[in-house]
Amino acid sequence: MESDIRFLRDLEQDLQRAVVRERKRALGGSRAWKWAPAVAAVLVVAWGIGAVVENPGTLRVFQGSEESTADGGSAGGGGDAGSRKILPEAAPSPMPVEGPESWSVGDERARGDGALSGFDDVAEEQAGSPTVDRDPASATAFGDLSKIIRTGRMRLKVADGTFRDARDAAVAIAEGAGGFVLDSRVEGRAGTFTLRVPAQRFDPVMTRLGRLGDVELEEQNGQDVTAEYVDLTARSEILTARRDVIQELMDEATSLQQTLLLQNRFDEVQLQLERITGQLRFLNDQVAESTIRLEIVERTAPQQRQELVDNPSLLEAWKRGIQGFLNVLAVAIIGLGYLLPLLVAIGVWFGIKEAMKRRRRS
Amino acid sequence: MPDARSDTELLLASRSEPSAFVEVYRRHADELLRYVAGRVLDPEVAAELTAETFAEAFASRGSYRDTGAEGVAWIYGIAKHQLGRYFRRGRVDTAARKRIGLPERPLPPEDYERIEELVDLEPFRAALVEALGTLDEDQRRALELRVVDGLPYTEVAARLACGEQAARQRVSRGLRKLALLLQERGLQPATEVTS
Repeated sequence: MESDIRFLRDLEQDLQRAVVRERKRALGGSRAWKWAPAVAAVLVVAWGIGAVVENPGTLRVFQGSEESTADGGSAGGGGDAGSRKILPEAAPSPMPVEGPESWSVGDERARGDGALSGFDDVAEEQAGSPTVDRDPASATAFGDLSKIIRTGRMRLKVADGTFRDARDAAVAIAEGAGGFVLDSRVEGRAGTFTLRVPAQRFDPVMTRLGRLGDVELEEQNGQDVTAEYVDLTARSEILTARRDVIQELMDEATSLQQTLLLQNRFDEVQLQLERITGQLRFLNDQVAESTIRLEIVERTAPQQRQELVDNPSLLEAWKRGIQGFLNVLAVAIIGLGYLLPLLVAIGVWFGIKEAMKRRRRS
Repeated sequence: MPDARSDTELLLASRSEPSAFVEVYRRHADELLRYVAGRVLDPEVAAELTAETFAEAFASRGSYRDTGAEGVAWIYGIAKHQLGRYFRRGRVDTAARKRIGLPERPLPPEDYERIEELVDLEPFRAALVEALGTLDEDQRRALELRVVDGLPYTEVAARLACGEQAARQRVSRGLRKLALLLQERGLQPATEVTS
């Protein structure tokens, strides 16, 4: 440049440099790349939100959507251990259903036999809280007047590969409470157990079981059998009295006919009495021990895992990969839905800013 | 080797070939600086406005459309817009230079005189003398010595008993105030430059 003004010559140099920068930017790709990190961040956040929303165990607030967890769970899990590695948040660690502490199944195992001794700690904690009214102490307050049979049902989802741990922990909890496993049925990576625990330990046991995984379903029933119990007790007393009278009459009987007649009556009463005593014993047992039906299921459908081991075909792997990808995508889209209002707001803000910039320039 | 393309062609080409813009700059930078200096009088402001104008043109060369007029008219349009903003706000924008990464350079000392030489103060010397009365003592003295008496800066500095660069700055600031003042009174400091 032939200008004799140095400022203009310098400015030309500066413009040349700007041209070089511009060329580099053009070579480096479109301006869209500038937005790539932001878009990636939004997608990751959306996916996280989607995973949280789809996994009811992660946040209890979303309990309303529990019905769809069968899909959501497998979506979050990605179907196999491989995708879990890529997406570690896929299987959020179990959160406490209630109570202040959170123990994962792993912790439960780490305590090992401690589940037995650990139980007492919990029982004591619970005894201090007003929600537990079935402690021995308060039970005496009601005396034998109130007879309630309590039953519970719980369905737990646990992280893949932890079914065995969860089962062991559940058994330990039941036994630690002085109960036992009445029956169990295990099928692959899922199982159903019937636990019997002392009635006064029902609440703490339910609480502890709930900590083993994501509670999909929890049900507690109380059947008041007080009236039936009182009735049976009264009849038992009457029959006892009648039996005693018959026995006295038998002792005083003089004829064989009389004796035979009274013997028949005695047997009749005795049979009735035994039947009623049996019913009373059954009721007492039912009241004294609660029944809990516990289902434990791993997040991933058991059949799929089985197939992976038995038939590791490339086609299957490909299909499962695609399915996993679609699941992740679906979760991200759900999350985007939640983010939509925010994204719209940000878009409007940028739009206004851009428009103002343009107006100022023109 | 001179580029045979017209300004319009260069500006259109610069969208995908940014170096074409530099050619436009080479052709018109001096003239634009003269045009701006004739309006703001102050060499510092004139240089800054020129830089900002070309930066703005470079940054928004993508929005240039061939309207049939000479391509350079578009750049003068941007300059006018910048001038208007300068007169309204009393300062030069830096947004466009920042956007394309141009550094803000101070005016080299030797450029003060050269830019002043570009401006023909003759047409409004009368208004100038009148406007001088509204300036600070320092700035008025400097302006009188430099503009009215036409002394070189070495002499102006000697008379004011200050450094040469300080003298330049006093004249520069005085001219800046003067231009703003004349603008306020509706007196254009210089006649329209035809390109």
